Amino acid sequence: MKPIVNTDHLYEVINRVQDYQNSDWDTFKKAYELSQLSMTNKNELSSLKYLPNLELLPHQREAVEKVIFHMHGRAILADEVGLGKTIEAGVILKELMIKGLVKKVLILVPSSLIRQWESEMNYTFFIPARAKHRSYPWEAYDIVISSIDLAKKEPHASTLIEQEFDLLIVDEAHRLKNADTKNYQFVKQLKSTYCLLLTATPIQNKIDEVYHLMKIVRPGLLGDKRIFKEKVKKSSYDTIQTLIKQSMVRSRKSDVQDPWATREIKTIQVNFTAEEQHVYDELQQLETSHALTNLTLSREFCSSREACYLSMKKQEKLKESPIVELIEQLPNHAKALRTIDLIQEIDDKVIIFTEYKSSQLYLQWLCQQNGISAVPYNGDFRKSKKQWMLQLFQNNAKVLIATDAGAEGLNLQFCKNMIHYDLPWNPMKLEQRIGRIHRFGQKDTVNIFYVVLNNTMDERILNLLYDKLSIFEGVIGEIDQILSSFGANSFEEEITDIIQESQSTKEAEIKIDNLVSVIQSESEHSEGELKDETS
Amino acid sequence: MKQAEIHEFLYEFFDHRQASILDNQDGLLTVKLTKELDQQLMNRPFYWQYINTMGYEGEPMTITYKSKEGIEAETEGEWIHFGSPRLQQIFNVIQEEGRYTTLYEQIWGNTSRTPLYPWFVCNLQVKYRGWYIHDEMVSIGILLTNGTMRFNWIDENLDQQFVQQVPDYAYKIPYIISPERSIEHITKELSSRIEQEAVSFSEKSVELYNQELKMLDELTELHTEEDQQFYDQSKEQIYERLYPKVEVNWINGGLFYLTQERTKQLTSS
Repeated sequence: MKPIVNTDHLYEVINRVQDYQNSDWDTFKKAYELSQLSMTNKNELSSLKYLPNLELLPHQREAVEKVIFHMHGRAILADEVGLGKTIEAGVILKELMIKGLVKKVLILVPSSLIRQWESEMNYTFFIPARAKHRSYPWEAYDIVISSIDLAKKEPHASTLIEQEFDLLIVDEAHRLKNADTKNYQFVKQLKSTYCLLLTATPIQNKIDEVYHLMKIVRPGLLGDKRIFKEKVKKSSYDTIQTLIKQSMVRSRKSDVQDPWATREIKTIQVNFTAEEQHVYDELQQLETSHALTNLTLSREFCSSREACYLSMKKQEKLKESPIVELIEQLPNHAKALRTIDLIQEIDDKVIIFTEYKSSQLYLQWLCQQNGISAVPYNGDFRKSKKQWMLQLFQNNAKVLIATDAGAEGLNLQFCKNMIHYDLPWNPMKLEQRIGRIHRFGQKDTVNIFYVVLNNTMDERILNLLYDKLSIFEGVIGEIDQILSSFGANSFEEEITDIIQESQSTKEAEIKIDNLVSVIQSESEHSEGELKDETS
Repeated sequence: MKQAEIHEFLYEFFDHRQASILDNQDGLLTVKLTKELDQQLMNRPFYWQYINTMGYEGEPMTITYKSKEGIEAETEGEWIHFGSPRLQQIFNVIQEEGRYTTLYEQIWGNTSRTPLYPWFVCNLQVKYRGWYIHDEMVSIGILLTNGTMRFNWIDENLDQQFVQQVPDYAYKIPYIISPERSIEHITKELSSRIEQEAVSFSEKSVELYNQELKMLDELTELHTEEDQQFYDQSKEQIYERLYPKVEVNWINGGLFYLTQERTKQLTSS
C-alpha cells in the first residue's frame, strides 16, 4: 500500500518565482533555521514550547496526549468540573494548528461562556479566536466562537453546514445527548475533520446517552443503536466502558492529587459615616422608574461615591436630584478608607477586586495619596498594557486593582492576599477571582478579605449568600448552566430579582434557600449518575 | 529558541532592516521602525492608506520590546517570548523574505575568468499524516548542467559565503535542465524514497483507516438522504485523518551558482 504523495506546493512556488524577491544569504539561512524550529515530531507535543507560561497538570497532559496520539483528534473530553477541560481543548487546538492540520475552527459554547472562551484562547494560548459578530459573515473567520443557540438558527445553520471545518469543539456537550433535539441534528450535520466534545457529565441518567455523543465523535464505535442496547443488557458495564474509553478521556477529582493551599477568609466590617448613611437611606427612598435602579444605585454607593454619582448623572431623571449634590459634598468613602488601612496592615502584595471602574480609579488615587504603589488592570486595556501592568505588579507595585472583566484566566500565584472590595453576587465570579491566586501550585496559605459595610446591601448579601458558599463547591462552574436547564436566568439575575422583590429579609432568605437547594439537588443528582456509570 | 536568545535575535532583525535602534540594553530594545517594518508589523493599514493618499511622509512607530524577565523599567514595553504572536509575526516576515533567492559563491581576490555552475536548491518540509503526524526536513540540490542530485545540500553549505551579485571576473554557466524540470525529478525521487522508507507508516495507517471504515459501514443503514449525507461526511473525515498521506511543502530555495571546485567537492563525496 502506497501513501499519497502530494507535491503541488512545489509547482505552485516554482510557477510564481518571478513574484519573489531574491533574498540575501543571511535571511535565507535564518528562514531555513526558523522552519527547522517549527517541525513537529511524532509522539511529541510541539505546542508546549510555544506556551511557556502554561503548566499542564499531569492528568491534563495525559488527556492531550491520548487525544492527539491515540484518538487521532476526535474525542469526548469528560473530566469532572474544575479539572480544566477548556485547557485541554486549548492545547489540543494549538497542537493541531502547529502541526499544520487545522485552520478553520468552529467553537460552540453556551452564550454565557463565549467571552471566557475568547479571552482564554487569546491570552492563554495565543490563538486568534473571535466571537461571532453580527456584521461579519461566518466565512470571514478562521476560528470562530458562537453559541449553539445562534448557530442552529437559520440562516446560520445552512451556512455552517455547507462549510468544511478542520476542527469542531462543542462545550457543555451534554446538551446534545438527546438525538431528537435540534441541537443534536444540527451538530451531526456539521462537517469537520477533527472533533472535540466537552462535558463533565457524559452520562446523566442512562449509559445510552453517551451513544449519541459517540456517534458524532466516532460513528460506528458503539455499533447500531439496537445492537448497542442489547449489548448494554447482556454484557457488563466493563466491556462497554472499555469500548467508550477508546474515544473518551475522563479524570475525576478524587483521582487527581490536590496539593492545594488552604484559604483563610476574613470579613472586615465597616460603618458608613452618618452623612454617608444618610445618602444611602435617601437612595433607598428615591423615586425612580424602576425598583432595579434603586438597587443598582445602592450597590454602587456601597462601592464608591464616584460609581453612584456617575450613573445618576447619566440618567435624565436623576441627574438633577438633590442626592447628587449630597454625594458631591461627601469628603471620602468609609469603606475605601478602611481598605487603605487594611492594605497597610498587610505586609505583602495584595489584589483588590472591584466591580466598578470608577471605584477602581478612586482606589488608585487613594493609594497614591497614601504612598502605596498600585497599578490598575481592566478589560479595556490593550494586551500590551495588561502585560505591562502585570509585570509592574509582580516586580514593583504592592497593589493590583482589578475589575472582573479584565482578570479572567490570569495566573497571579505570586500573590497571596485578595481583597473583595465589593462582593460579587455570583459565586462563580467569586471563585474565578480567587482562582487567580488560589490555584494548582500555590503552596502558601491564601488570605481572602471581604470588606463589608454594615446595615447595607453588602451585609445583606453576605448573610444571605456567602454563608451558603460551601454548597456550591464542585458545581461552581456549572451554576448558570444548571439554572438554564430549569429555564431560569443567570444566578446573578435570580439573586437581583429576589432581593428586589422580597418584602422582608426573611422572604429573601427563603427564596435564596430555594434557589440554592435546586442547584444543590441537581449537583447531587449528577454526582449520583457518575457513580452509576462506574458501578 | 531560548528566552535569553530573543534579545539578540530581535536586535539583528531590526538592525538588518535599517530600523533605528534607540535603546539597546540587556533584554530591553527600543526601535524606531522603518515605514516598511511598520506596515509589516503594526497592523494599521488604514493609517498608511491615508498617508499614501494624502501624499504625506508618515510617522513609523517607536516600540520597546522586552525579553528578559524581571527587568526594571519605567517605560512601557511589549513582552516577547517564544510563542508570542509578535515573535511569530517576525518569524513570518523572515520566512517570507527568505522564500526564494539567487546567490553566487563569494570568490576572494579573483583575477581570472571563473565559471560558476548553477545548482537548483530546495529545502522542503515532508509532512506525514495518518497513523502519526510527523515532519521531516529535506534539502535537495540539483546540478542543472547534468542533473546530479545531492541530499542535505543546505547543511553542507551553511558555512559558505554567498553574495547577491556575480563576483568580479566570474560568469554564469547556463543551465541545461530548468528549475521546473528539476521539480519533476525531485518529486519522482522523493516519492520513491518515501514509499520505500515509510512502509510501516503506510501499512499501519491503512489498517486504521480500514478498521474505522468497517465500523462505519456496519453501523450505517442508508434509509434516508440524511443517512447518506452523514455516511459520506464520516467517510471523508476518516480519510482525511487516517489514510496515509505525505505532503511536500516548499520552505525555501533558489538558484545557487558555485565554483567548479566547490561543485566537484559536492558531487564527488
